[in-house]
Amino acid sequence: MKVLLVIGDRLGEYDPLTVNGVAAGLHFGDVTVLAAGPNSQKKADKAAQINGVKEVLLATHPTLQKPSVENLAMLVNELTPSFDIILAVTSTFGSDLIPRVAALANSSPITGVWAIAKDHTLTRPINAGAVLAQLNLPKPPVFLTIRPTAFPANFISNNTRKAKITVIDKSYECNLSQHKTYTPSANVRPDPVSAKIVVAGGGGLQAGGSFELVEKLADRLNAAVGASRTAVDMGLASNDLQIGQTGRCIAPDLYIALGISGAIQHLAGIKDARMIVSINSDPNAPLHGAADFALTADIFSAVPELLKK
Amino acid sequence: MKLLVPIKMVPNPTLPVRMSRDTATPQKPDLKDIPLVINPFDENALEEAVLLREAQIASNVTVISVGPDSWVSEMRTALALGADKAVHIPCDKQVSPLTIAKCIKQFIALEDIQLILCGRQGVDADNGSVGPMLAALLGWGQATFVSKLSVNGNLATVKREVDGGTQELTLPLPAVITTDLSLNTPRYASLPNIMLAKRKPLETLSAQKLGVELTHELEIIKYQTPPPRPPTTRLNSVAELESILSKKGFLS
Ligand SMILES: Cc1cc2nc3c(=O)[nH]c(=O)nc-3n(C[C@H](O)[C@H](O)[C@H](O)COP(=O)(O)OP(=O)(O)OC[C@H]3O[C@@H](n4cnc5c(N)ncnc54)[C@H](O)[C@@H]3O)c2cc1C
Ligand SMILES: Nc1ncnc2c1ncn2[C@@H]1O[C@H](COP(=O)(O)O)[C@@H](O)[C@H]1O
Repeated sequence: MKVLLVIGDRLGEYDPLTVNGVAAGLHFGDVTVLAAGPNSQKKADKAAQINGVKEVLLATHPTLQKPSVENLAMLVNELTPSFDIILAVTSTFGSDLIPRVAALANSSPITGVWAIAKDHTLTRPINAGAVLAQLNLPKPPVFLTIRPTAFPANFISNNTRKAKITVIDKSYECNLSQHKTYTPSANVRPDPVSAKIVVAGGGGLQAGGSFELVEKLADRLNAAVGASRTAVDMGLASNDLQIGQTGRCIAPDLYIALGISGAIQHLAGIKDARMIVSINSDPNAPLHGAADFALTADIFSAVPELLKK
Repeated sequence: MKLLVPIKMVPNPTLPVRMSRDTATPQKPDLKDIPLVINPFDENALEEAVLLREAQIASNVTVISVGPDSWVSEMRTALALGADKAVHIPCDKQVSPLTIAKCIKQFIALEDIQLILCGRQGVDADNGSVGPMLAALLGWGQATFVSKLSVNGNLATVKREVDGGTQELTLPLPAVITTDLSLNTPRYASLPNIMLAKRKPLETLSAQKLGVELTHELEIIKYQTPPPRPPTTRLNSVAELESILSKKGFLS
């Protein structure tokens, strides 16, 4: 089967989760990637070095170098007949693009794919991860977004040779949404989705009035910072750090939750974490039940004590 | 300017979903005891639409649902929350996002809609598909995960929540916008408004009349429960935690 992976766009830059998209695509066959949007040449060069990428399509026309989901969807729609699988990572970029492209091809997308079996049946979580639903692969063309954390790319070493880059210089202009600006989030630490360690804070941080405690522990462990919805709502953390069903899904080696109760919507985002530690003053917090290690303690005394070590 | 808010009903997301206990195969999630509520993101969409009408930017807010008769009482709730009219397209079985988008598209052919406000995702199946699909079928522009919206004449200015930060864009109307939870805080239905809602129009329209076949090309073949996590070890002190983190190589 032939796979087209559309490279994500992260505030106009290359999305490092592209390798996870390649890892997922290789379950089906040859992977061609499409680089468009701002810095498309840089994106193409990076993707061409990923082992397993057969060809890179590089969109160079100005109408495709600005962020425009409508213009890009028009191009992908034109490429669709040449591929069996059209794929993107489940990011805000992929979730915006793939359903639009699927509808143009009179098809329904399958989003948030969590596993691809040998026989190509697909599994995705539903009901906030309480249930896994398995589907047959529909007839091509198939439109997918894949959960990056479920497709680790550690088997992909960097290529010694570079994949062929083919330029597409045609214009695609819908005159619909017009990009104005990107504003990077206040987060200066690693992205929680790709981080090996994530320290997250919740409503329990309110008494401190800031996320300082979470950030200090994160820095001590070289970790990314994450947050519950409540912490985001309280203005303690930025929206893009929200972990959970309607935030980001993460799969670090270590996840430490500080003052997070463990609502099902939050747990949905950490199910794939390899080790979960919960520090909470409430011994009955649901997150204690989901954790590998639970410490019932006040974070405002426990975390400073840990930092002293 | 007329607004359309497609709403779906979902099992109350604060209650746990379990698999059916009977031994019948295939096993399915057991939803019969979980009350239905309006999908939380759709409440944000409806709230934003009602705010636009209260600001006299919009003249009329219609909600539309493609779903079973059991959804009708929550459609009344939507009227109590400020919608002017509700349209129900009866549909007793699971259908694909494409089918839902087609039904809504056909309805728009009958009405002069300028702006569609959708939820970013249904919290039951987490598809997040209908909004962008609807925009594609209509040939309209789209903005997903919107946390701020202003409408000026024929132009919407939005702030989107994207990975790594936010994006600002403008969107000529007509257009489709999907909502993030941070867009607004939905109101509660007051008792007088619940009474008033009983007299608001709630129309039924058949998919057949709209020329849409109710199909599902993405049938689920098997439901499973996720693998259980190992049991929890309770720690008695920070020192114990520190020793575990050190032993595993996380703390040096
Ligand atoms: C449609 C929908 C989508 C949602 N999506 C998400 C999502 O993606 N992600 C998400 O996280 N939530 C999501 N939520 C919200 C979710 O339901 C919970 O409300 C939220 O996760 C609670 O966050 P919290 O545990 O930080 O806050 P709280 O529920 O306020 O819990 C705070 C915890 O901190 C503990 N605590 C307080 N003080 C201390 C202290 N000094 N020391 C130690 N512990 C302390 C308390 O015991 C408590 O357990 C969603 C909700 C809905 C309806
Ligand atoms: N059956 C439906 N009837 C009306 N609107 C729907 C329906 N299903 C989904 N929607 C709308 O589309 C959004 C995204 O849903 P989904 O693609 O199912 O995640 C929802 O938040 C609703 O606004």
